[in-house]
Amino acid sequence: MQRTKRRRSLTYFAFILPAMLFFVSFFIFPFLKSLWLSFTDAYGYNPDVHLIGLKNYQEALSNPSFKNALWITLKYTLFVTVLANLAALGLAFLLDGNVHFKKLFRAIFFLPNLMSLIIVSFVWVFLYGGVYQSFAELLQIPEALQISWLGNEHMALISMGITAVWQCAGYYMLIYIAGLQSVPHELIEAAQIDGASSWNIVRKIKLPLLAPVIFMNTILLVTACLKTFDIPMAMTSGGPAGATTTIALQIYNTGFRANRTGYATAQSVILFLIICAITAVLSIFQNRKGAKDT
Amino acid sequence: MKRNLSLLLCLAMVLTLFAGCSAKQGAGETAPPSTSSSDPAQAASNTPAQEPVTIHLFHQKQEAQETFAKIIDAFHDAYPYITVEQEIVTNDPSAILKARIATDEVPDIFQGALDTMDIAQGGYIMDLAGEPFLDNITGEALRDASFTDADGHTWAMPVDGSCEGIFYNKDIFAAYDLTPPKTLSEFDALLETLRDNGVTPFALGFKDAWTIKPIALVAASPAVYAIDADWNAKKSSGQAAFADTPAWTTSFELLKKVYENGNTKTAFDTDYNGACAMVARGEAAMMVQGLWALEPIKSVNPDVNLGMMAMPVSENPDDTKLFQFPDFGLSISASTPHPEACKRFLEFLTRPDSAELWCSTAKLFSAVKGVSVDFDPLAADVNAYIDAGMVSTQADRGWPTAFQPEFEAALPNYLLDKASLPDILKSLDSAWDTAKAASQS
Amino acid sequence: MNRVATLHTRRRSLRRQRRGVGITVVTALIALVFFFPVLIAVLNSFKDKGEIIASALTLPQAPTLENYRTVLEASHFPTAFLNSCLVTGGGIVLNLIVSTLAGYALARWNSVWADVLTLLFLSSMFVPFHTIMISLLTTAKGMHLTGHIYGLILIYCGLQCPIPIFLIKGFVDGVPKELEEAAMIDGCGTVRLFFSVVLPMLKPILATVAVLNALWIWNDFLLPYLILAKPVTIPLSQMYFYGQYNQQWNLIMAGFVVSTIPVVLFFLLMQKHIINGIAAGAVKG
Repeated sequence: MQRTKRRRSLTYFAFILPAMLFFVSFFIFPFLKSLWLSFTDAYGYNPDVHLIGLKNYQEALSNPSFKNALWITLKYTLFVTVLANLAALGLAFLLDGNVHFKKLFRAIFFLPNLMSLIIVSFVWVFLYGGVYQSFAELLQIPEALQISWLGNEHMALISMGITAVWQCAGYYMLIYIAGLQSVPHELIEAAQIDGASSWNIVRKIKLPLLAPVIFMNTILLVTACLKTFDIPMAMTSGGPAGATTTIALQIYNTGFRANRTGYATAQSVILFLIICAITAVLSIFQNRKGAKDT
Repeated sequence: MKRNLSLLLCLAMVLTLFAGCSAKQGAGETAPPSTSSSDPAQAASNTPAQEPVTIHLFHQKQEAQETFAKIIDAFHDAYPYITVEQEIVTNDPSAILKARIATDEVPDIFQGALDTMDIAQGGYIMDLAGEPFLDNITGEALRDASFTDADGHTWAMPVDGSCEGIFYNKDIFAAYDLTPPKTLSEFDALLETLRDNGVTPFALGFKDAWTIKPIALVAASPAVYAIDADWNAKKSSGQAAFADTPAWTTSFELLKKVYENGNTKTAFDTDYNGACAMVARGEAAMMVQGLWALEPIKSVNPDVNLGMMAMPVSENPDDTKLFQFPDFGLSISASTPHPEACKRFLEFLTRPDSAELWCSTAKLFSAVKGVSVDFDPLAADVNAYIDAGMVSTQADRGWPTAFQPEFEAALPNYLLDKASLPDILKSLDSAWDTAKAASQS
Repeated sequence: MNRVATLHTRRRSLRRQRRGVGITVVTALIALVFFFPVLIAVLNSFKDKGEIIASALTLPQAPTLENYRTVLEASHFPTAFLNSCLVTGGGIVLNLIVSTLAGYALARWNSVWADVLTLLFLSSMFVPFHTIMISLLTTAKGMHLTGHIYGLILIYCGLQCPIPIFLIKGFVDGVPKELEEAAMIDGCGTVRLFFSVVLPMLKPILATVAVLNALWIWNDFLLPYLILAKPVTIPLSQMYFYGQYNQQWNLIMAGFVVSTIPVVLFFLLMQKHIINGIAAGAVKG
């Protein structure tokens, strides 16, 4: 008995081994190496590397452009998380009602999510530029009132956020639809018979039942937004005047343009810690609320 | 049924995968054959034989694509066994090159750039010192290119020289009786006249952030470096600083003056090509750029009557010098399996025929001895500065690599009043020190 | 059911249907706004450069396919497409193999080690790619996995196995053990058990995982950008193409259409799996 158990353990271990090998080589090992690099002065092509303690971290936290990137990323995350959640919820409620052509609409809303963010960004640069120009000419908007979507430092981040919401809303909509479908039918029928209005059904029954899904989507959105790279890289290269330089883009620039490998890695470890912290805070918040509700 | 479909699809993908493998190399292997022959000795012994080789040329000079194609064809006629494939990367070329180096996919020949010295430090570039074809290059070009170091290495061959200055529309200037200004007050008067007549003085294309830097350099080269050629060394040793060099303040203020006297409102919406088009169509009287902008301008309007002038930086006309510098250089990878073929190509570029073709179409000055081309009526303006010795040849070459992006980032911050000029200069000082320290580790 | 009640429901459903038309119109309007960028892109992909500058909103006056010809040639589209297929297909297959094995074993192995390993896999979800980016690049270089798509496939397998493993483990956890135990009493070894009993059961979750993997890998940009450093997959070739044909929006829009058609076809074929997969992936993840 003991022997068969041990043999089975060995078999299970053998099953896990291939995945573990890949995972250790391409994730665990690079991750540990990154942690080490972040305490060094590694520089571009130079093979000499020395440990320099916390210097990189100190520099990052006192560097205005890194702090600026942090601030921009947080603003962007808040903007996109709120807007994409609202849009996805709204669309999900629409499609959960008795709409005709449900499948077609679902496909249209989801379509942007299938496209590469890089290519989506190019299309939106065109929309904000040439297409908007033609639009303004058509409506004869005076030049003074025209919006500079990507050229204005206050507007560019918002424009980028709109693109992101357009691209990802369909994805979160699908998750909300799945959540809505698990709301028990009887509950809603009973409320309808009691004469509850649609709005009240949404507010009093559907939304509370969706709370865990909303929480999960928020976490997914927040972590995705904090890592935003493709859109600023393709749309604005971080400009104008660094107004759309997210942390991820800043890390890339530090590592690959300024060649400061160690410093870039320290910045990326800070990003990792921020993601952990925000996820932890959101989870604690959710648990508290969950505990209170029951 | 649907489930089966998905499995079928997976199966189909597996099949394509194996089909790809069995089709010998697979489509991903369009790479240079550099990985296959890692043994340099064997590779070297291969080259003298007339075995066909392909060398990869990596550069960012989009406007030179066709010229290169012509030179490559001529080269192929001379050496039928060598094929040169050019690859043009305009988007973030230095990051791509770094990724190539990091992935052992170093192109055989690649463009020298501001971080050439960093790349050389990692041992990725072949030393060209002593190659006979370097004798064809003018001494000035070799000296100013900053591709050589104190140990006598030469890490890239300069191909041509360029300059950055103010393009101006001669017809617009003539219409208002204007001449190139020699002093700051003349410059102010010029701007006022243009503004009073409803002419936009400068075309700005700041959507492409790199177009801001030339404006600062066009001022800084004569203002800072023509006065003190050792400024970089002094800065590194702590004897000079951005904050207490008044010429830097002047340079930044001139940058702002250009910004405020242009299509200021749309500056960050307009890109480089858009700004070139403004100049070509006469919508702006001037633009600060390098000579390479001539080609895109003329492609929009071949008949535009342009001149080039230097930026005044003081009340002394003798300070108004044109910023001239070596533009395009080529390095050979240290790990290329075809060193001989690469050297033959560089040698071919220094032949008068190639150099003349290059400079007449790329509209630049040749770095090759005895080759001078009047590529454009505008060349006369530039030659006048050169003949009078009114050029300054130094600016951002020799800056620490990690300082470059910091400097580029500081410029729009200043233009958009994110910080005061003294604060920006102070932050540049500390950025320089950090960058210098980082590269010396 | 009595007659009054039937009448009542019928009236209600009639009212509902009428409301259905109103909601449909509203949804259609929103869908139109959503679809507008795609529409604009398609329209302008048939124009020449001058026509776009004149107006980006009008229908093409003289529709031309010239843009498409340029895109297909200049961005080496067929090669990029084949490479994207190879990377995605290879990534999916390899990932399915290792994560099915691991997911199953983690679910059935009654040991602290199984919990520890599960936790280890899961914790990777908090680590942004940028944190390991530079080290991964040097690691991959050391293993000669850079510059070709086969290395990329292996790396994907390591980076993207945690969620599939977790999904498969969750699925197996929900399957009663009885069948396997019965087979084992019949003298079936663990390995044979896995292939003849377990694998057929897992089909639905494997389809989900495959679809999720396909969506992740097909559009991924930064990892291939660094590992391949050459424009050999579709997003990469479009990025290079954009740099080279800056401002030629007719060409860039044609590039958009060409590179979007494959994913739309994939969606139409696999719609059900994609939709279920996203719901499942999110609920579990």
